[in-house]
Amino acid sequence: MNSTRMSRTHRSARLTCGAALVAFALTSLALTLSACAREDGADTPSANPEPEEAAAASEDGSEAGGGYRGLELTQPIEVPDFTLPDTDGKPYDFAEETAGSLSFLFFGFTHCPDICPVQMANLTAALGDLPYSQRRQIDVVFVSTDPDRDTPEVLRAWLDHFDSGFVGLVDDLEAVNEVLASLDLPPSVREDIPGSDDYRMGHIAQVMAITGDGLIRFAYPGGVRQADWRNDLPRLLALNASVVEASGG
Amino acid sequence: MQWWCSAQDVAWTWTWRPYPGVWVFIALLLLAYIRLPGRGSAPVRRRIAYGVGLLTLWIALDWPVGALGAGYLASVHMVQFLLISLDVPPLLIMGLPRPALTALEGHAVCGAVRRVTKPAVALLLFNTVVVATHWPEVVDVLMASQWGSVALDLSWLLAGLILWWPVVSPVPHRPKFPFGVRMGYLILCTVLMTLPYLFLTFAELPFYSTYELAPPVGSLSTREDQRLAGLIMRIGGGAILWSGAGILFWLWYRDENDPRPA
Repeated sequence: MNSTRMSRTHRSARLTCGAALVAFALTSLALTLSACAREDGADTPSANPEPEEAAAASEDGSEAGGGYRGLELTQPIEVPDFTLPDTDGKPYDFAEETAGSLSFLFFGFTHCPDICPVQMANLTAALGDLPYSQRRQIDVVFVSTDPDRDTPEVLRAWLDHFDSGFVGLVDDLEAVNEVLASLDLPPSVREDIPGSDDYRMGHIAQVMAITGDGLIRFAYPGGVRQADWRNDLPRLLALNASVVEASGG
Repeated sequence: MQWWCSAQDVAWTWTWRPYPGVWVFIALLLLAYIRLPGRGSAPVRRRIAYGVGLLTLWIALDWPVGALGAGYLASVHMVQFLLISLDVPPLLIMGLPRPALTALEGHAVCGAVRRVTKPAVALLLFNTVVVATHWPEVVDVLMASQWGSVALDLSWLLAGLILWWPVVSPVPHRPKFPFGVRMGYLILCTVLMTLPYLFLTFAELPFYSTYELAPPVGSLSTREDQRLAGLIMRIGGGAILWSGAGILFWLWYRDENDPRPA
Protein backbone atom coordinates (compact mmCIF):
# COMPACT_ATOMS: atom_id res chain seq x y z
CA MET A 1 0.00 0.00 0.00
CA ASN A 2 2.68 2.39 1.11
CA SER A 3 5.00 1.51 -1.76
CA THR A 4 2.14 2.04 -4.25
CA ARG A 5 1.50 5.49 -2.82
CA MET A 6 5.21 6.27 -2.93
CA SER A 7 5.50 5.19 -6.55
CA ARG A 8 2.46 7.33 -7.44
CA THR A 9 4.05 10.20 -5.59
CA HIS A 10 7.28 9.73 -7.54
CA ARG A 11 5.38 9.50 -10.82
CA SER A 12 3.49 12.69 -10.05
CA ALA A 13 6.70 14.38 -9.03
CA ARG A 14 8.35 13.32 -12.28
CA LEU A 15 5.36 14.64 -14.22
CA THR A 16 5.80 17.98 -12.48
CA CYS A 17 9.52 17.94 -13.29
CA GLY A 18 8.61 17.14 -16.87
CA ALA A 19 6.22 20.09 -16.90
CA ALA A 20 9.04 22.30 -15.62
CA LEU A 21 11.30 21.04 -18.41
CA VAL A 22 8.57 21.71 -20.99
CA ALA A 23 8.17 25.24 -19.62
CA PHE A 24 11.92 25.89 -19.99
CA ALA A 25 11.90 24.37 -23.48
CA LEU A 26 8.90 26.51 -24.47
CA THR A 27 10.70 29.63 -23.27
CA SER A 28 13.75 28.78 -25.35
CA LEU A 29 11.55 28.00 -28.35
CA ALA A 30 9.66 31.24 -27.96
CA LEU A 31 12.92 33.19 -27.80
CA THR A 32 14.23 31.42 -30.89
CA LEU A 33 10.99 31.95 -32.81
CA SER A 34 10.86 35.63 -31.98
CA ALA A 35 14.46 36.02 -33.07
CA CYS A 36 13.66 34.21 -36.35
CA ALA A 37 10.62 36.41 -36.92
CA ARG A 38 12.84 39.44 -36.52
CA GLU A 39 15.32 38.10 -39.08
CA ASP A 40 12.61 37.38 -41.69
CA GLY A 41 10.95 40.70 -41.08
CA ALA A 42 7.73 38.72 -41.20
CA ASP A 43 6.71 39.60 -37.71
CA THR A 44 8.22 43.00 -37.25
CA PRO A 45 6.02 45.53 -35.47
CA SER A 46 3.47 46.99 -37.81
CA ALA A 47 3.13 49.88 -35.40
CA ASN A 48 6.44 51.35 -36.42
CA PRO A 49 7.67 50.30 -39.80
CA GLU A 50 8.44 53.80 -40.83
CA PRO A 51 11.39 54.60 -38.58
CA GLU A 52 13.10 51.66 -40.20
CA GLU A 53 12.29 53.17 -43.58
CA ALA A 54 13.59 56.48 -42.36
CA ALA A 55 16.72 54.83 -41.03
CA ALA A 56 17.14 53.00 -44.31
CA ALA A 57 16.79 56.26 -46.15
CA SER A 58 19.42 57.76 -43.92
CA GLU A 59 21.77 54.91 -44.62
CA ASP A 60 21.04 55.19 -48.31
CA GLY A 61 21.99 58.76 -48.71
CA SER A 62 20.87 61.51 -46.43
CA GLU A 63 23.06 60.33 -43.56
CA ALA A 64 26.03 60.86 -45.84
CA GLY A 65 24.66 64.23 -46.93
CA GLY A 66 24.61 65.94 -43.54
CA GLY A 67 23.56 63.23 -41.12
CA TYR A 68 19.80 63.83 -41.44
CA ARG A 69 17.41 61.12 -40.37
CA GLY A 70 14.43 62.51 -42.26
CA LEU A 71 13.77 61.57 -45.86
CA GLU A 72 15.59 64.08 -48.04
CA LEU A 73 13.78 64.99 -51.23
CA THR A 74 16.11 64.57 -54.17
CA GLN A 75 14.24 67.39 -55.89
CA PRO A 76 12.89 69.95 -53.38
CA ILE A 77 9.25 70.88 -54.02
CA GLU A 78 8.15 74.49 -54.06
CA VAL A 79 5.20 75.20 -51.78
CA PRO A 80 2.53 76.92 -53.85
CA ASP A 81 0.87 80.07 -52.59
CA PHE A 82 -2.12 79.22 -50.47
CA THR A 83 -4.18 81.04 -47.92
CA LEU A 84 -6.50 79.32 -45.46
CA PRO A 85 -8.31 80.66 -42.37
CA ASP A 86 -6.54 80.11 -39.06
CA THR A 87 -8.27 79.19 -35.78
CA ASP A 88 -9.06 82.88 -35.19
CA GLY A 89 -10.76 83.05 -38.58
CA LYS A 90 -8.06 85.30 -40.02
CA PRO A 91 -6.59 84.46 -43.45
CA TYR A 92 -3.17 82.84 -43.12
CA ASP A 93 -0.97 83.31 -46.18
CA PHE A 94 1.47 80.44 -45.75
CA ALA A 95 4.28 81.78 -47.97
CA GLU A 96 4.13 85.25 -46.45
CA GLU A 97 3.84 84.11 -42.83
CA THR A 98 6.64 81.57 -42.99
CA ALA A 99 9.05 83.42 -45.28
CA GLY A 100 12.58 83.17 -43.92
CA SER A 101 11.64 80.67 -41.19
CA LEU A 102 12.07 76.97 -40.95
CA SER A 103 8.54 75.60 -40.94
CA PHE A 104 6.85 72.25 -40.52
CA LEU A 105 3.61 71.57 -42.36
CA PHE A 106 1.35 68.69 -41.38
CA PHE A 107 -2.06 67.61 -42.61
CA GLY A 108 -4.14 65.71 -40.06
CA PHE A 109 -7.20 65.72 -37.83
CA THR A 110 -7.86 65.99 -34.14
CA HIS A 111 -9.86 62.74 -33.90
CA CYS A 112 -6.91 60.81 -35.35
CA PRO A 113 -6.18 58.04 -32.84
CA ASP A 114 -2.57 57.32 -33.72
CA ILE A 115 -0.34 59.05 -36.29
CA CYS A 116 -1.33 62.70 -35.72
CA PRO A 117 -1.02 62.84 -31.93
CA VAL A 118 2.21 60.81 -31.99
CA GLN A 119 3.78 62.98 -34.69
CA MET A 120 2.75 66.18 -32.92
CA ALA A 121 3.84 64.93 -29.50
CA ASN A 122 7.28 63.85 -30.69
CA LEU A 123 7.86 67.08 -32.62
CA THR A 124 6.68 69.12 -29.61
CA ALA A 125 9.00 67.27 -27.25
CA ALA A 126 11.99 67.77 -29.53
CA LEU A 127 11.18 71.48 -30.04
CA GLY A 128 10.97 71.84 -26.27
CA ASP A 129 14.58 70.68 -26.00
CA LEU A 130 15.81 73.55 -28.17
CA PRO A 131 16.98 76.80 -26.65
CA TYR A 132 14.37 79.56 -26.98
CA SER A 133 16.50 81.47 -29.50
CA GLN A 134 16.31 78.49 -31.87
CA ARG A 135 12.74 77.50 -31.06
CA ARG A 136 11.44 80.94 -32.12
CA GLN A 137 12.91 80.46 -35.58
CA ILE A 138 10.53 77.57 -36.26
CA ASP A 139 6.86 77.62 -37.31
CA VAL A 140 4.58 74.62 -37.04
CA VAL A 141 1.45 74.70 -39.20
CA PHE A 142 -1.26 72.05 -38.84
CA VAL A 143 -3.93 71.89 -41.56
CA SER A 144 -7.08 70.03 -40.59
CA THR A 145 -8.35 67.43 -43.03
CA ASP A 146 -11.58 66.96 -41.06
CA PRO A 147 -13.44 70.30 -41.17
CA ASP A 148 -16.74 68.69 -40.11
CA ARG A 149 -15.43 67.86 -36.64
CA ASP A 150 -12.45 70.19 -36.38
CA THR A 151 -14.09 73.51 -35.66
CA PRO A 152 -11.60 76.33 -35.05
CA GLU A 153 -12.26 76.00 -31.31
CA VAL A 154 -11.70 72.24 -31.29
CA LEU A 155 -8.52 72.52 -33.33
CA ARG A 156 -7.19 75.36 -31.17
CA ALA A 157 -7.79 73.41 -27.97
CA TRP A 158 -6.13 70.31 -29.45
CA LEU A 159 -3.06 72.24 -30.64
CA ASP A 160 -2.78 74.08 -27.32
CA HIS A 161 -2.40 70.68 -25.69
CA PHE A 162 0.92 70.48 -27.54
CA ASP A 163 2.03 74.09 -27.98
CA SER A 164 -0.05 77.25 -28.06
CA GLY A 165 2.36 78.65 -30.65
CA PHE A 166 1.34 76.08 -33.27
CA VAL A 167 -0.76 77.48 -36.09
CA GLY A 168 -4.00 75.67 -37.00
CA LEU A 169 -5.74 76.12 -40.35
CA VAL A 170 -9.32 75.02 -41.03
CA ASP A 171 -11.27 75.24 -44.26
CA ASP A 172 -13.62 73.02 -46.22
CA LEU A 173 -12.15 69.74 -47.40
CA GLU A 174 -12.20 70.81 -51.03
CA ALA A 175 -9.92 73.75 -50.31
CA VAL A 176 -7.56 71.57 -48.26
CA ASN A 177 -7.44 68.93 -50.99
CA GLU A 178 -6.60 71.64 -53.52
CA VAL A 179 -3.55 72.53 -51.44
CA LEU A 180 -2.60 68.86 -51.28
CA ALA A 181 -3.05 68.47 -55.02
CA SER A 182 -0.84 71.50 -55.66
CA LEU A 183 1.84 69.69 -53.65
CA ASP A 184 1.33 66.55 -55.75
CA LEU A 185 -0.02 64.75 -52.71
CA PRO A 186 -3.08 62.50 -52.53
CA PRO A 187 -6.33 64.02 -51.24
CA SER A 188 -7.72 63.35 -47.79
CA VAL A 189 -10.69 61.02 -47.91
CA ARG A 190 -13.33 60.00 -45.44
CA GLU A 191 -13.17 56.35 -44.41
CA ASP A 192 -16.22 54.98 -42.60
CA ILE A 193 -15.47 52.62 -39.73
CA PRO A 194 -17.48 49.41 -40.30
CA GLY A 195 -20.17 48.74 -37.71
CA SER A 196 -20.01 52.26 -36.35
CA ASP A 197 -21.27 55.75 -37.14
CA ASP A 198 -17.71 56.97 -36.65
CA TYR A 199 -15.26 57.69 -39.44
CA ARG A 200 -11.59 58.39 -39.97
CA MET A 201 -9.85 60.63 -42.45
CA GLY A 202 -7.27 59.01 -44.66
CA HIS A 203 -4.39 61.44 -44.98
CA ILE A 204 -0.67 61.61 -45.61
CA ALA A 205 1.31 60.92 -42.47
CA GLN A 206 4.48 62.90 -43.01
CA VAL A 207 5.53 66.20 -41.55
CA MET A 208 7.10 68.34 -44.26
CA ALA A 209 10.13 70.47 -43.44
CA ILE A 210 10.15 73.70 -45.44
CA THR A 211 13.05 76.11 -45.52
CA GLY A 212 12.65 79.87 -45.59
CA ASP A 213 12.85 79.97 -49.40
CA GLY A 214 9.57 78.07 -49.65
CA LEU A 215 10.98 74.69 -50.61
CA ILE A 216 10.00 71.37 -49.04
CA ARG A 217 13.35 69.67 -48.50
CA PHE A 218 12.65 66.85 -46.03
CA ALA A 219 9.73 64.64 -45.07
CA TYR A 220 9.27 62.92 -41.71
CA PRO A 221 6.95 59.94 -42.00
CA GLY A 222 4.90 58.44 -39.19
CA GLY A 223 7.24 56.53 -36.91
CA VAL A 224 9.91 59.23 -36.63
CA ARG A 225 11.19 59.32 -33.08
CA GLN A 226 12.19 62.16 -30.77
CA ALA A 227 15.83 61.14 -31.17
CA ASP A 228 15.46 61.65 -34.94
CA TRP A 229 14.00 65.11 -34.45
CA ARG A 230 16.67 65.99 -31.93
CA ASN A 231 19.28 64.97 -34.48
CA ASP A 232 17.73 66.86 -37.39
CA LEU A 233 16.40 70.10 -35.89
CA PRO A 234 19.78 71.83 -35.44
CA ARG A 235 20.84 70.68 -38.92
CA LEU A 236 17.61 71.99 -40.45
CA LEU A 237 18.05 75.32 -38.68
CA ALA A 238 21.61 75.59 -40.01
CA LEU A 239 20.42 74.63 -43.50
CA ASN A 240 17.64 77.21 -43.29
CA ALA A 241 20.08 79.93 -42.24
CA SER A 242 22.36 79.17 -45.18
CA VAL A 243 19.46 78.98 -47.63
CA VAL A 244 18.01 82.29 -46.46
CA GLU A 245 21.43 83.93 -46.56
CA ALA A 246 22.07 82.62 -50.08
CA SER A 247 18.71 83.92 -51.28
CA GLY A 248 19.52 87.31 -49.77
CA GLY A 249 16.71 87.09 -47.21
CA MET B 1 -6.39 36.13 -33.67
CA GLN B 2 -4.65 37.59 -30.64
CA TRP B 3 -4.02 34.87 -28.04
CA TRP B 4 -1.38 36.71 -25.98
CA CYS B 5 -0.95 40.44 -25.35
CA SER B 6 1.56 42.09 -27.68
CA ALA B 7 2.04 45.53 -29.24
CA GLN B 8 -0.77 46.41 -31.65
CA ASP B 9 -1.07 49.04 -34.33
CA VAL B 10 -4.52 50.12 -33.17
CA ALA B 11 -5.78 52.81 -30.86
CA TRP B 12 -6.45 51.74 -27.29
CA THR B 13 -10.08 51.23 -26.32
CA TRP B 14 -11.58 50.06 -23.05
CA THR B 15 -13.50 47.36 -24.90
CA TRP B 16 -12.67 43.96 -23.42
CA ARG B 17 -10.62 41.60 -25.58
CA PRO B 18 -10.04 37.90 -24.96
CA TYR B 19 -6.55 36.41 -24.74
CA PRO B 20 -7.09 32.62 -24.75
CA GLY B 21 -3.38 31.84 -24.52
CA VAL B 22 -3.28 33.47 -21.09
CA TRP B 23 -6.28 31.43 -19.92
CA VAL B 24 -4.69 28.19 -21.14
CA PHE B 25 -1.42 29.06 -19.37
CA ILE B 26 -3.19 29.82 -16.07
CA ALA B 27 -5.34 26.69 -16.42
CA LEU B 28 -2.21 24.58 -16.97
CA LEU B 29 -0.59 25.98 -13.83
CA LEU B 30 -3.77 25.24 -11.90
CA LEU B 31 -3.96 21.73 -13.33
CA ALA B 32 -0.29 21.10 -12.49
CA TYR B 33 -1.00 22.14 -8.89
CA ILE B 34 -4.02 19.87 -8.64
CA ARG B 35 -1.87 16.94 -9.81
CA LEU B 36 0.93 17.62 -7.34
CA PRO B 37 1.41 14.92 -4.72
CA GLY B 38 0.34 15.94 -1.24
CA ARG B 39 -1.81 18.83 -2.43
CA GLY B 40 -4.84 17.49 -0.59
CA SER B 41 -3.02 17.44 2.74
CA ALA B 42 -1.41 20.87 2.23
CA PRO B 43 -2.45 23.46 4.81
CA VAL B 44 -5.11 25.91 3.63
CA ARG B 45 -2.66 28.82 3.83
CA ARG B 46 -0.44 27.12 1.21
CA ARG B 47 -3.38 26.59 -1.11
CA ILE B 48 -4.46 30.20 -0.61
CA ALA B 49 -0.91 31.40 -1.34
CA TYR B 50 -0.82 29.46 -4.61
CA GLY B 51 -4.32 30.68 -5.54
CA VAL B 52 -3.47 34.32 -4.86
CA GLY B 53 -0.24 33.92 -6.85
CA LEU B 54 -2.12 32.46 -9.77
CA LEU B 55 -4.79 35.17 -9.64
CA THR B 56 -2.12 37.89 -9.56
CA LEU B 57 -0.38 36.28 -12.53
CA TRP B 58 -3.65 36.20 -14.44
CA ILE B 59 -4.29 39.90 -13.70
CA ALA B 60 -0.77 40.79 -14.85
CA LEU B 61 -1.05 38.88 -18.14
CA ASP B 62 -4.65 39.39 -19.23
CA TRP B 63 -6.66 42.43 -20.41
CA PRO B 64 -6.39 45.29 -19.51
CA VAL B 65 -3.06 45.22 -17.64
CA GLY B 66 -1.39 42.83 -20.08
CA ALA B 67 -2.63 44.64 -23.17
CA LEU B 68 -1.76 48.13 -21.89
CA GLY B 69 1.68 47.00 -20.75
CA ALA B 70 2.46 45.15 -23.94
CA GLY B 71 1.87 47.97 -26.35
CA TYR B 72 0.82 51.29 -24.89
CA LEU B 73 2.35 52.36 -21.56
CA ALA B 74 5.82 51.67 -20.20
CA SER B 75 4.54 52.38 -16.68
CA VAL B 76 1.96 49.56 -16.93
CA HIS B 77 4.65 47.32 -18.44
CA MET B 78 6.66 47.96 -15.27
CA VAL B 79 3.69 47.09 -13.05
CA GLN B 80 3.47 43.80 -14.99
CA PHE B 81 7.17 43.19 -14.41
CA LEU B 82 6.84 43.73 -10.66
CA LEU B 83 3.78 41.51 -10.37
CA ILE B 84 5.19 38.67 -12.48
CA SER B 85 8.76 38.63 -11.19
CA LEU B 86 8.47 39.83 -7.60
CA ASP B 87 4.90 39.29 -6.38
CA VAL B 88 3.81 36.03 -7.98
CA PRO B 89 6.90 33.78 -7.50
CA PRO B 90 7.09 33.79 -3.68
CA LEU B 91 3.37 33.05 -3.49
CA LEU B 92 3.64 30.14 -5.94
CA ILE B 93 6.68 28.72 -4.11
CA MET B 94 5.03 29.09 -0.70
CA GLY B 95 1.97 27.31 -2.05
CA LEU B 96 3.86 24.17 -3.09
CA PRO B 97 2.95 21.17 -0.90
CA ARG B 98 5.96 19.84 0.99
CA PRO B 99 5.43 16.17 0.00
CA ALA B 100 5.74 17.18 -3.67
CA LEU B 101 9.09 18.83 -3.00
CA THR B 102 10.29 15.84 -0.96
CA ALA B 103 9.30 13.52 -3.79
CA LEU B 104 11.34 15.55 -6.24
CA GLU B 105 14.52 15.13 -4.19
CA GLY B 106 17.17 13.31 -6.18
CA HIS B 107 15.60 14.08 -9.56
CA ALA B 108 17.97 15.46 -12.20
CA VAL B 109 15.92 18.63 -12.69
CA CYS B 110 16.05 19.29 -8.97
CA GLY B 111 19.83 19.12 -9.12
CA ALA B 112 19.74 21.86 -11.75
CA VAL B 113 17.25 23.85 -9.65
CA ARG B 114 19.59 23.53 -6.66
CA ARG B 115 22.48 24.87 -8.69
CA VAL B 116 20.68 27.91 -10.14
CA THR B 117 19.05 28.80 -6.82
CA LYS B 118 22.32 29.23 -4.94
CA PRO B 119 22.03 32.83 -3.71
CA ALA B 120 24.92 34.28 -5.72
CA VAL B 121 23.86 32.49 -8.90
CA ALA B 122 20.19 33.38 -8.40
CA LEU B 123 20.99 37.04 -7.80
CA LEU B 124 23.18 37.16 -10.90
CA LEU B 125 20.62 35.38 -13.07
CA PHE B 126 17.71 37.53 -11.91
CA ASN B 127 19.51 40.81 -12.43
CA THR B 128 20.83 39.70 -15.81
CA VAL B 129 17.24 38.97 -16.86
CA VAL B 130 16.09 42.33 -15.45
CA VAL B 131 18.70 44.25 -17.44
CA ALA B 132 18.25 42.17 -20.62
CA THR B 133 14.46 42.39 -20.59
CA HIS B 134 14.53 46.15 -20.14
CA TRP B 135 17.05 46.71 -22.92
CA PRO B 136 15.27 48.84 -25.56
CA GLU B 137 16.13 46.66 -28.56
CA VAL B 138 15.04 43.52 -26.72
CA VAL B 139 11.75 45.03 -25.53
CA ASP B 140 10.90 46.51 -28.94
CA VAL B 141 11.56 43.25 -30.76
CA LEU B 142 9.86 40.95 -28.24
CA MET B 143 6.76 43.06 -27.61
CA ALA B 144 6.03 43.23 -31.32
CA SER B 145 5.08 39.55 -31.53
CA GLN B 146 2.96 37.30 -29.39
CA TRP B 147 5.71 34.68 -29.06
CA GLY B 148 8.16 37.39 -28.10
CA SER B 149 5.76 38.66 -25.49
CA VAL B 150 5.32 35.12 -24.12
CA ALA B 151 9.11 34.79 -23.94
CA LEU B 152 9.40 38.05 -21.99
CA ASP B 153 6.63 37.14 -19.53
CA LEU B 154 7.98 33.62 -18.96
CA SER B 155 11.53 34.86 -18.50
CA TRP B 156 10.28 37.24 -15.78
CA LEU B 157 8.39 34.44 -14.06
CA LEU B 158 11.30 32.00 -14.20
CA ALA B 159 13.79 34.64 -13.05
CA GLY B 160 11.46 35.53 -10.17
CA LEU B 161 11.11 31.89 -9.13
CA ILE B 162 14.90 31.54 -9.13
CA LEU B 163 15.31 34.75 -7.11
CA TRP B 164 12.77 33.84 -4.45
CA TRP B 165 13.64 30.13 -4.09
CA PRO B 166 16.55 30.60 -1.65
CA VAL B 167 14.50 33.15 0.33
CA VAL B 168 11.46 30.94 0.80
CA SER B 169 13.64 27.78 1.03
CA PRO B 170 10.64 25.53 0.56
CA VAL B 171 12.34 22.11 0.47
CA PRO B 172 11.97 20.27 3.77
CA HIS B 173 15.04 18.52 5.20
CA ARG B 174 17.34 20.96 3.41
CA PRO B 175 19.10 23.56 5.54
CA LYS B 176 17.67 27.05 5.16
CA PHE B 177 19.97 30.02 4.80
CA PRO B 178 20.25 32.10 7.98
CA PHE B 179 17.68 34.89 8.24
CA GLY B 180 20.39 37.56 8.10
CA VAL B 181 21.76 36.17 4.82
CA ARG B 182 18.32 36.06 3.26
CA MET B 183 17.55 39.62 4.35
CA GLY B 184 20.89 40.85 3.01
CA TYR B 185 20.21 39.01 -0.26
CA LEU B 186 16.90 40.86 -0.79
CA ILE B 187 18.38 44.21 0.16
CA LEU B 188 21.29 43.66 -2.23
CA CYS B 189 18.78 42.95 -4.96
CA THR B 190 17.15 46.37 -4.43
CA VAL B 191 20.58 47.94 -4.87
CA LEU B 192 21.27 46.04 -8.10
CA MET B 193 17.91 47.03 -9.54
CA THR B 194 18.95 50.67 -9.23
CA LEU B 195 20.74 50.60 -12.60
CA PRO B 196 17.70 50.17 -14.87
CA TYR B 197 15.78 52.57 -12.63
CA LEU B 198 18.40 55.27 -13.16
CA PHE B 199 18.34 54.80 -16.93
CA LEU B 200 14.56 54.93 -17.13
CA THR B 201 14.05 57.84 -14.78
CA PHE B 202 16.80 60.15 -15.90
CA ALA B 203 17.00 59.41 -19.64
CA GLU B 204 16.43 62.49 -21.76
CA LEU B 205 14.74 60.60 -24.59
CA PRO B 206 12.26 57.76 -24.68
CA PHE B 207 13.97 54.36 -24.74
CA TYR B 208 11.30 52.18 -26.28
CA SER B 209 9.89 52.79 -29.75
CA THR B 210 7.01 50.49 -28.76
CA TYR B 211 5.70 53.08 -26.32
CA GLU B 212 6.97 56.20 -28.05
CA LEU B 213 5.11 55.40 -31.26
CA ALA B 214 2.07 53.76 -29.70
CA PRO B 215 -1.33 55.42 -30.06
CA PRO B 216 -1.57 57.62 -26.96
CA VAL B 217 -3.50 56.57 -23.87
CA GLY B 218 -4.41 59.29 -21.38
CA SER B 219 -2.53 62.53 -21.04
CA LEU B 220 0.92 61.27 -20.02
CA SER B 221 3.69 62.17 -22.44
CA THR B 222 6.08 59.40 -23.48
CA ARG B 223 8.83 60.87 -21.33
CA GLU B 224 6.54 61.19 -18.28
CA ASP B 225 5.36 57.61 -18.79
CA GLN B 226 8.96 56.38 -18.90
CA ARG B 227 9.89 58.31 -15.75
CA LEU B 228 6.84 56.91 -14.01
CA ALA B 229 7.97 53.42 -15.07
CA GLY B 230 11.36 54.07 -13.46
CA LEU B 231 9.74 55.30 -10.24
CA ILE B 232 7.39 52.31 -10.13
CA MET B 233 10.40 50.03 -10.51
CA ARG B 234 12.25 51.80 -7.72
CA ILE B 235 9.42 52.37 -5.26
CA GLY B 236 7.28 49.32 -6.06
CA GLY B 237 10.21 46.93 -6.42
CA GLY B 238 11.84 48.33 -3.28
CA ALA B 239 8.59 48.04 -1.33
CA ILE B 240 8.15 44.37 -2.26
CA LEU B 241 11.76 43.40 -1.53
CA TRP B 242 11.96 45.41 1.71
CA SER B 243 8.63 43.91 2.79
CA GLY B 244 10.16 40.49 2.19
CA ALA B 245 13.16 41.48 4.30
CA GLY B 246 10.79 42.81 6.98
CA ILE B 247 8.85 39.56 7.13
CA LEU B 248 12.11 37.63 7.43
CA PHE B 249 13.18 39.91 10.28
CA TRP B 250 9.88 39.27 12.07
CA LEU B 251 10.24 35.50 11.60
CA TRP B 252 13.81 35.72 12.89
CA TYR B 253 12.67 37.65 15.95
CA ARG B 254 9.87 35.14 16.55
CA ASP B 255 12.29 32.22 16.29
CA GLU B 256 14.76 33.85 18.66
CA ASN B 257 12.04 34.37 21.25
CA ASP B 258 10.44 30.99 20.84
CA PRO B 259 10.74 29.21 24.20
CA ARG B 260 10.31 25.79 22.56
CA PRO B 261 13.52 23.89 21.76
CA ALA B 262 14.61 24.19 18.13
